Amino acid sequence: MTAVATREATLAAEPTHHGIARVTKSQWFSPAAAVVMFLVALFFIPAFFDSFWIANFTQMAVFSIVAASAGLLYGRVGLVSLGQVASYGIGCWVTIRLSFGTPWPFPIIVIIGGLAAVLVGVLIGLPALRVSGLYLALVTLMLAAGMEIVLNNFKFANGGPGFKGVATSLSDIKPTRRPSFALTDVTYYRFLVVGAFVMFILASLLLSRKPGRAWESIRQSEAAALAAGIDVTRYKLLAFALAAFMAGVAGGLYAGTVPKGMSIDAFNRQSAIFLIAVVIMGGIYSLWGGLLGAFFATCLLKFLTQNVIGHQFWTRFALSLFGFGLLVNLIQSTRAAEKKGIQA
Amino acid sequence: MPGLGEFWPYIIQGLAFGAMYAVTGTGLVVLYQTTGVVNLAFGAIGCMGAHLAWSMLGGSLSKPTPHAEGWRILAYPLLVVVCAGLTLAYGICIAPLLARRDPLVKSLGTLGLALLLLGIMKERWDTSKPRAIELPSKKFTVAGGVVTTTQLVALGFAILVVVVVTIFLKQTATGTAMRAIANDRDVSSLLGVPTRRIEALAWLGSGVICGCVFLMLPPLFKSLDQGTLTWFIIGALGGAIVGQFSSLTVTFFASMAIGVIESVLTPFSNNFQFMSDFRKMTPFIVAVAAIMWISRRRTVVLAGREMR
Repeated sequence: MTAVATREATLAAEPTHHGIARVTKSQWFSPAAAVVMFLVALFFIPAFFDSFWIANFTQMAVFSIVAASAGLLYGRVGLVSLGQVASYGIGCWVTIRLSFGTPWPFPIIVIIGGLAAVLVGVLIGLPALRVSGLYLALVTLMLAAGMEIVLNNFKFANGGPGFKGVATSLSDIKPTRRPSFALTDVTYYRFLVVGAFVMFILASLLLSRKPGRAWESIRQSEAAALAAGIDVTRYKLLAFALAAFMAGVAGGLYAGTVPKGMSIDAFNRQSAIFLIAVVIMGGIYSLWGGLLGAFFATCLLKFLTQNVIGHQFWTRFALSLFGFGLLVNLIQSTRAAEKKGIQA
Repeated sequence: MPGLGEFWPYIIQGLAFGAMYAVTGTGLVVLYQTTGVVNLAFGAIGCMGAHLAWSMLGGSLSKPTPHAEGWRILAYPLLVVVCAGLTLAYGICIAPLLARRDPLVKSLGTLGLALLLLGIMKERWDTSKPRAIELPSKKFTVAGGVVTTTQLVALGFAILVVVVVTIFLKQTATGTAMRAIANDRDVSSLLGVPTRRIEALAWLGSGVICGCVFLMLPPLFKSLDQGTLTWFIIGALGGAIVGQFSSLTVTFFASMAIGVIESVLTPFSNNFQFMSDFRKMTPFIVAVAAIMWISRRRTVVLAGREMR
């Protein structure tokens, strides 16, 4: 959030078109850095880390997509959605259900899961056409809470019969499917890294083109964007659809990381709040922020648990850590904005 | 479809939960009106107070539902003091640092506090073990349905709070100052209204209300589940949203309606089982519908003015 003030200040001080051009061309996702990061994640990490850390980097890859999707909405379009967890959950539910119900290739059902999440994303986006700011955050928080209740009732499929596909007998519960080419943890991790890379590239491509410029304009002033002939409705819905697709795909990819009996804990209200804290701590004005936030929330916490205190202290205390981080970030960005003489 | 007589206990229960929603909504509205903050940490603060009270009552893994005996009865006032103190501390120490931000950022700050407290509670009190707090309560029958004194106290307290707060805001100098700040903080400050002090008072009042709510909520839930109590606030927001964070009367009636609807859907079964399964979505459906209705005419802000 410190970056909020810096960017606000820059955009206020410089001609607007200059600010937009600078943001879209250089800040979002440097291609060279992205490729290096991708290659390191693909080859270096599996070669030098054991299975424990591979599992953590797998979680990080999934979480980075969800965090980047929420950051994209907040940082780029200025819409705070606390409902990204709902899209994440829908993507996961659809992927798991189809993985048991159809013989379709895993990557295809992950994409279908993402598309199903788009429907939810657009549903969440509809109120966003009329409200913004606090009311939007509250609406999306309520939708996330509502989705938790829906998932609680539907439960995740586990190879059982019927529409829900839920088996009640322990002996009938089947393991979640993975792609045939990524059955081991390391190969699935690599599959996830490729999936995350594709999602980041997709977001980056849209951000550096016409939609990205339209979103920047809407974020700065919706009235000015309307006056400039930008179809605000279309671009807001596109933003929600893209963010939901990313979160849905992340949910689908997450499905393969849990061998049996997916729990709804990753998709509850607390996760929705935790996600926004992670996103703000990582930084909302760059896709890298999603990656950084995900690193904090997964690998750093595990490192602290392993090496500093242990006994699950940091895992339990993670909420406090991120709560404190969220507060510090908000206060720092306020101070930075006031220093620049801007009322944020 | 259940018979009409079967609804009676659920109506009583719904009125009690609706009352808790209403009191919480009142606390939220008063604070939002004065400071522009929707205190999303309301539930976490109350849950923290309830857990401390549970420990003071002598609760342990072998005694998950302790009873107040001797000096331990002080745990109940302690709960209110802890809630008021935590809320006031946030209002004095953190909230002023975010005072110049928009209501969204100010409210996100309280989410930070909620996460902070939730982490402490998870570390200190193992979440996998059942816990509960009970108030001294009696049961009696009214028109064939069992009513507890806790339910009656909750209902009476809600009515009392709404009436007292409404009168306070309209008839007292401090209430007038609160309304002035809600109207325009900068102009009120220029006219000599001690904004910081009034805002601190609003935080304190909200904290006391929080303490009172969480004195009654765990006995009504019959549990100290951290997730349920902390995020109780999300359901309670429904009434406040219908009242547009300004009308205490609308907030009260909307909250009561939400509580009753949510509760009377419980006994549905067979073909109507889904109504029971999804009854907890009532506050969310009502709130989202209210927001859509409130904002049915799309507006944009141009040069500080709202344009249709």
